[in-house]
Amino acid sequence: MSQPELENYLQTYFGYSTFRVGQKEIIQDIMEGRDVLGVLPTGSGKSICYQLSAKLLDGITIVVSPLISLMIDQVKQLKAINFKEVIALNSFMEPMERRKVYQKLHTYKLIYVSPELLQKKELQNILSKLHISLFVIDEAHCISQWGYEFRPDYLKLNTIVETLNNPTILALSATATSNVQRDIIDAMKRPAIIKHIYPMDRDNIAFCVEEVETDNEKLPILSNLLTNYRIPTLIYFSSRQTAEDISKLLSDKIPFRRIAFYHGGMEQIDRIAIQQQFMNDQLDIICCTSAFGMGINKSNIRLVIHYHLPPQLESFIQEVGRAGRDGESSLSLLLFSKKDLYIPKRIIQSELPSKQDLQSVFSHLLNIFNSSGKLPSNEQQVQNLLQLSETQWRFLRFQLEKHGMIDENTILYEKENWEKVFQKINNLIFERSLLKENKLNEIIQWVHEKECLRKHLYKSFQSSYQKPKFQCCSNCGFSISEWEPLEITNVKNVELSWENKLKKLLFIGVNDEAK
Amino acid sequence: MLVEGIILKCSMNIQGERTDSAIYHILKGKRSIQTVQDIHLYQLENFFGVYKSLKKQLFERKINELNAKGFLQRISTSEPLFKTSKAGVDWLDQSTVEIPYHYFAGLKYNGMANSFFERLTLLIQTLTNSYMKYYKFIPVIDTTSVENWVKALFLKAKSKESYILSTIFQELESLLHYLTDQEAEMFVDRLSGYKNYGMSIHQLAVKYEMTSEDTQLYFTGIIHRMLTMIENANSSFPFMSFILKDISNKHMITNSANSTYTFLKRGYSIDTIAQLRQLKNNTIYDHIVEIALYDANFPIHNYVSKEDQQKIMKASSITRSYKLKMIKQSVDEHISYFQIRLVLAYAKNSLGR
Ligand SMILES: [Zn+2]
Repeated sequence: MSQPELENYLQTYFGYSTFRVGQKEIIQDIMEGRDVLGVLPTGSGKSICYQLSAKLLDGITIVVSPLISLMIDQVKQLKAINFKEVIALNSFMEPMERRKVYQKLHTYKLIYVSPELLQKKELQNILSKLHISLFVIDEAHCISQWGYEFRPDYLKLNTIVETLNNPTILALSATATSNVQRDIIDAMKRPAIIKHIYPMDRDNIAFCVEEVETDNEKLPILSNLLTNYRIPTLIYFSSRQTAEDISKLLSDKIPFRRIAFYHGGMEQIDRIAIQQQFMNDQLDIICCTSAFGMGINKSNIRLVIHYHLPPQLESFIQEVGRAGRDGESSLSLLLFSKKDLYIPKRIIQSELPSKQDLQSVFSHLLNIFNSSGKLPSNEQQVQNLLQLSETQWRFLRFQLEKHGMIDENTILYEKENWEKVFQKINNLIFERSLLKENKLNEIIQWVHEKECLRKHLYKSFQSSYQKPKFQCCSNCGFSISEWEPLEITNVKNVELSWENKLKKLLFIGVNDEAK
Repeated sequence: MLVEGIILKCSMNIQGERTDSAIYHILKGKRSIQTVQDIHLYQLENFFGVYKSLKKQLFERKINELNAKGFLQRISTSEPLFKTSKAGVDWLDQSTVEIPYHYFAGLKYNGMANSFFERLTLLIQTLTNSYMKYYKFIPVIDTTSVENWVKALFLKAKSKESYILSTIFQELESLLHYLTDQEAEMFVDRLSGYKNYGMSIHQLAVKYEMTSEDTQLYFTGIIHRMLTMIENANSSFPFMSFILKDISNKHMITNSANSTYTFLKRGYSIDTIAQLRQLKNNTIYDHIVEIALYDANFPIHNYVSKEDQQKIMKASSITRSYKLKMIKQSVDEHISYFQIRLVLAYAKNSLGR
C-alpha cells in the first residue's frame, strides 16, 4: 500500500492526519505479511499499529492483552469513533453473554482477549475455524522469564498461534531490553521477525529525585509545588489507602485545586467519571495507583510525581512517560525515603507464594485429590480455597500443569513426582524473588546516582539518548524556579444553584445559534 | 450517621430476636426466605436491599462502635444479639431531623433504583452529546442492558433531542422540588452530560461532608423517594414513568432460580430439573420458593392444594409465628416443609404488592 493511501485511511478511520514515529513502518510491514516486533515508548500510539491494520486486513485481528481495563477502555474509545466491529473477551463476562458473543465472533474485525481466556479449548476451537490474519501480542515483555512482569500464559501463545493457522504476528512492548527482545523472538519461534525498535527517552521531561527522611516531609513538598502551578498532575502511590488519604489531605491544604483519587478498587461508574473528568480538565490532580493511566491519552499532563518508590525502572519509565505527550516542558519528581523501602519489598513478596504457602497448597491439593479429585472450575474459588492472590495462583497453576500435577481441573497424584516438583517450584520461587530484588536494587541505585539521571535511567534499554529540550535532571542542576510549564488558564468555578446547573446540563434556554 | 441510624432502626424493631447478621442480610437484600420473612415480621421492608455493596467488615465495625457508644446493647454473651438501648432510641428520635429515613422503599425499589438512575444518566449524556453533534464521548455507564435500552430509544429520539431534554428538565425540576435543596443538588451533581462528567460517590462525600458510605445510602434514598413520587403521580411524570416502565421485578430473582423457572414452565419435574442442572433437589426447592416470593403469577396450586394452603395459613396465624417447625406440628402430617415454605413465601408475595 502506498504511503499517501495509508495516511488517507488514518484520517478517515481515526481522524489523525499524520502518523507518529514508527507507526507507518510497522503497519506497512504487517500489510505485507511480515512478522513485526515493535518496541515503542509509552504514549507513542502503539495501538494504532494494530487498530488501523485490523480495519484494512481481510480477516480478523486478535489482540492478546493482560490489561483488562485497558482493553475495555480501548473498545469504548473505538466505538466512540465509530469502529464498531470490536469486542473485548475476558473472564469477567457473564457466561451467558460470552456464549452469545462466541456465536457471532466472525462478525468482528478486532477481538481483544485476555491470555487466561485464550487458554480455553472452547475459544480456541471457535477461533481456529475463523480467518485470523493478524495476531497481536500486547505487552510482549510478559513472555520473558527475565522481564519484570513474566506471565506464564504467554509462553503458550506460540502453540495457540499454530492452531490459528499461523497468522502474521505483531509483538509490541514499551519496555524491552535486548535480552527480553531475544526471549520474545525465541518464544514465538519467528527468527525472521522484523524489529522496529524506537528509543524511549523523552527529551521534554526533566527528572528530579528528592530524598526525604519521613513521609511527613512529602506532603508540604506536594502542596507547595501544586500551589505554585495549576497543571494537570498525576501522583502515583503503591497503596490504594495512601492514595485516598493523601488526596484528602491535599484537598484540605490546597482547596483551590481540584483533586481526586483513582484506584482499581472503585466502582466502574466512578472510575470512568474520574478518568474522564481529568481528560476533560474538570480535575487538576489525580492521586492514583498504577491502575491509572493505561489507555488514557491526555497530552497536557505536566507533572508526574512518585510518592513511593516503584519496584523497578520499567514501571517508573512507563508512568513517567504519561507526562508531556504534546512535547511541552514536563517534570518527573520521585520522592524517596529509606523508610519506604519495605513497600516494594512487600509487593515483591506478595507476588510469589512463600515456602509456607507452597506447603499448604500441596497439602490442600492432596486433600482434594483424596476427596473429589477436582479443583473448582471457577478460578476465583480456587484462589480462595488455596488462599492465594491472583498473581500467586497464576504462577503456581502454570508450574503445576507443567510438572503434570494437574490437568485442567483434575489433580494427578504421584508421591515421588510431587516431592520433586515441590523442590523445583521452591527453587524457582527463590530465583524469581532474586530477580525481582535485583530489579529493585537497580532502581534504588538509580535514585542514589550521582551522575546524570537521564543517562542512567535509559542505559539498560538503549545505547544513547537525545539532548534534553529543557532542563535535564536534579543532578545536572535542575532548578524549580526556572521551570515554566504551560499552566491551565483560569478555571471558572462559579457555583450555580441546582436548578441552573440542571438547565445548563440539559441545554435549557439555549437557542440553537449558541451551539 | 445514616448507616448507623438504619442499623439502629433495624435493631430497634428486631429487639434481639435475631443475630446481627439478620440486619446485614436485610441491608444487602439477601434473597433468602429467612430474610424476607424477617423484613415482614419486623416491618423492615423499607430497608431491604438499600445497601447492596455493604461489606461485612464495615458492618461489624459499625455494630462494635454503636455498642461501644452505648446505643446498642448486647443481650447475650454466646450469640451476637443486640437491642437498641434507650440512648440509642433517643439518638434515633433526634436524627430524624437530619436523616430522611422515610425516603427508603427498599422492598419495592431495590431492584429498580440503580437501573433507573443508570438509564436516566446515560440517556442524558447521550442526548446532550448528540445535540452538540459530538459522538466521541465515553459512556459513563457500561451495563449492557442499559446501553441497549438507551440505544433503542436514541434511534427514535434522534433530531428530537432538545424536545426530550426539555421534557426531562420539566419533570426532573418538579420532582427535585420535593427534595431539600442539598438533596436536589447532590442528584444533579452526579449526572453526566456534554463535556461534563458527573461526580463520583467519593467526590459527593467530600463536597457534602459525609462519609462515602452515608453518601451511597443517601443517594439510594433520594432515588427511592423520586421513584415513589413518580409512581404516585405517574400522569405528572410521563417520561420518567416511561423510563421505569419495563424495569421489572424479574431482576429480583437470581439467575439460577430463573433458569429453574424456565424448565418448570416447560413442564419438567423437580427430579428431572435437578438431574439436568446437576443440582440437589433441595436447591431446586429453594429456587421454587424464591420464585413464589417474587412472581405474582406463580402457579402455587400446582404444588399445594387450596385446602392445604388454608391450613398452613391458619396454623401460621394461630401460632403467630413464621417458625416452620411450629407450623409443621400443627398441620396434617402429609404437608411437607417445602409446602409450608412455599405457602408462606407466596403469602409474602401477595402482601408485598
Ligand atoms: Zn542530567
